Amino acid sequence: MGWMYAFEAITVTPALRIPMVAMVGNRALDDPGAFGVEHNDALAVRDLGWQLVWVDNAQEALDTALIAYRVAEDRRVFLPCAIGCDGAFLTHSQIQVKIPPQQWVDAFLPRYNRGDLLLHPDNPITVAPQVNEDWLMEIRKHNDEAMKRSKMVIREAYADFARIFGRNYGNPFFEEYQTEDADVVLVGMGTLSMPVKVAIRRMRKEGKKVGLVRVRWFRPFADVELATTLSRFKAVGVIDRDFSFGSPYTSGVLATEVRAAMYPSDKRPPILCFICGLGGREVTVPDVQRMSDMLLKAAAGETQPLTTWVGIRE
Amino acid sequence: MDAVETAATQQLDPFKGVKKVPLEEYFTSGHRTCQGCESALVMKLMVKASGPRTIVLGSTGCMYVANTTYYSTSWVVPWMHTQLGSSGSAGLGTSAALKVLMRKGKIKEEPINVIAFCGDGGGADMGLSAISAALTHPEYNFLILLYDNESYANTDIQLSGLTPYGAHTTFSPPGKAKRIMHRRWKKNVAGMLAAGHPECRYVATVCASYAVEMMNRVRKALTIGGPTFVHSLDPCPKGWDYDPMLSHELGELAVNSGVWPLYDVEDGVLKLYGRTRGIAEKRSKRIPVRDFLIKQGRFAHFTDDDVDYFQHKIDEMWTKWLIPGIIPIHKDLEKDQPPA
Repeated sequence: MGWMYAFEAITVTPALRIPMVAMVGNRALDDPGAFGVEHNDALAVRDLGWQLVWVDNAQEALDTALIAYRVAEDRRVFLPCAIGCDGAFLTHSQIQVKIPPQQWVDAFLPRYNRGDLLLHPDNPITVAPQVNEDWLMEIRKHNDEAMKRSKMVIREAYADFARIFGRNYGNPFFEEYQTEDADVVLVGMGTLSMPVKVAIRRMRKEGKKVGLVRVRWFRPFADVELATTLSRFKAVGVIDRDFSFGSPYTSGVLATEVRAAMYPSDKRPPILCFICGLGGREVTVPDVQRMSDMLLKAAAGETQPLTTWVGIRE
Repeated sequence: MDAVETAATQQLDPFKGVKKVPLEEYFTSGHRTCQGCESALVMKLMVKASGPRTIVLGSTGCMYVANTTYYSTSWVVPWMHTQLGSSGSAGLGTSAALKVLMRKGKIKEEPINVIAFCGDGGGADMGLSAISAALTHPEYNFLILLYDNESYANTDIQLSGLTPYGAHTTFSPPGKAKRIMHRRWKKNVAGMLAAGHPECRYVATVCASYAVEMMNRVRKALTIGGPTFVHSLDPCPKGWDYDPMLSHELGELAVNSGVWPLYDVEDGVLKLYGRTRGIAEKRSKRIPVRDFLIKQGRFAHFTDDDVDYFQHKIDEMWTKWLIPGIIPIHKDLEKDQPPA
């Protein structure tokens, strides 16, 4: 909730090109109170110029923090970055992580240089004057271009990370699990990959070819990359650990974005939205099996509801 | 207990008279404030007092919108915009950032003044909790200056928590059915901050009609170290509705009528100064509040009863308050009877 309390400052952070990194323990917004995960808190800044990335486990959280600083502080980007960590599951559990030696980090992460934007009596600048309609669009466009450049810088950072730290995350933007021969895939962000992967392994034994695409970077959104990948499948199910009341087909945020990214593709499989796991509710293996069965039916040509709340009391 | 690690401050001795004030300006041309704007004068005096090695942070408000229009700036010293409710956080954060940059050897070690200013809306309404939080951090040196023109003047005179009783604002227009639309008494910001923040070594009220005394309070606040607070009452021709040539006089009237007491609280010791001290020591009489009110269009709808009530409340402030003019706690309970 502190994230929302700071919203005024959070809004100006990208506008002022302040490359801070925020670790957001995603927690359900009040009211009613819940300590568990929901992604709406971090997603609230999705349009403001914050880079957003979601992680799956503690090691990835640490690695992504280093990568996030590298990307944010690159002068070609100079935009803040928020790392979404599923509240409670990641933030209030303990696991061992590999802490890299300082010299590796130094090799990967150059010292932050604010350059000519440093606020100091030797550099008497006026920051963020009132621009009104005269200049606002041009300044917004700067941020737009910086966010576009961010994709390239993210690729560079992951390549360097693999070289220096010896841990290769492959495609920086999303992780694919058992997608090579999959008929249908589930798409999601954060820790839900665990139950989904377990369920996929079980379903594979029953001959159901289901895969997972776990999205890491939400801003910048891997539009072309995702559209290319997802158009290979017969049906796509987006698991949203968030809500967006009144959105198109009353879906979640991620599903709406995936549909928008897919629209220019020649091949557009049915895209179903599953809203589940809100407020920290477990996404169970049977939940995943139920979603997959609906996807397989959609793949077979049977009409399915565009949005389904899964694991909810009727 | 370990002593709090404080950083050195610039030693800014008081100006001994107006002729000793330097000619250099650090807030100059390039702004577009209204004619007779006292807040612009406060900005000018504030940085004149602090000198060139200063960073200024400005909350949204008149002194943001009117002073810094893109492609021009009236600030000679580095200046940065901060959000309406963020003057406390911005002052604290900038001071902390300077400290850490010096510790890491990224910038030269030297005392740099940090001043965060806010209007009455930004400071006394939206940003009060951030200011309060900032004043609890003795290890950082910065001044928060509240320029109080008693309304949200930049967006067309909306009522703020510091708008005086009965004043005509766009949110409290008097009418035939109801004459007094604003029935709440002005918050006592300096008194509340002085009383409630044991780590804050210096709180003062000022008025730019007494320019040298005002600048010396700013210099004192920056020299003493830690977080400090100065509250300035700024007559506003647009919001108070008077001829711009009367700005200076209205400041004097506010002080001489006892409406705006001038004092500073240094390390917990209260000192009244200027005309306020004369009034308290009964060397000079308070002039009637009517003289102050009658010059302002925002009180034009006041009846004699309203003026009497206003006078009564100011009398109460000087005769019934536990610390007259500063701390509004009464020894005995009396019924408040505003006119119908």
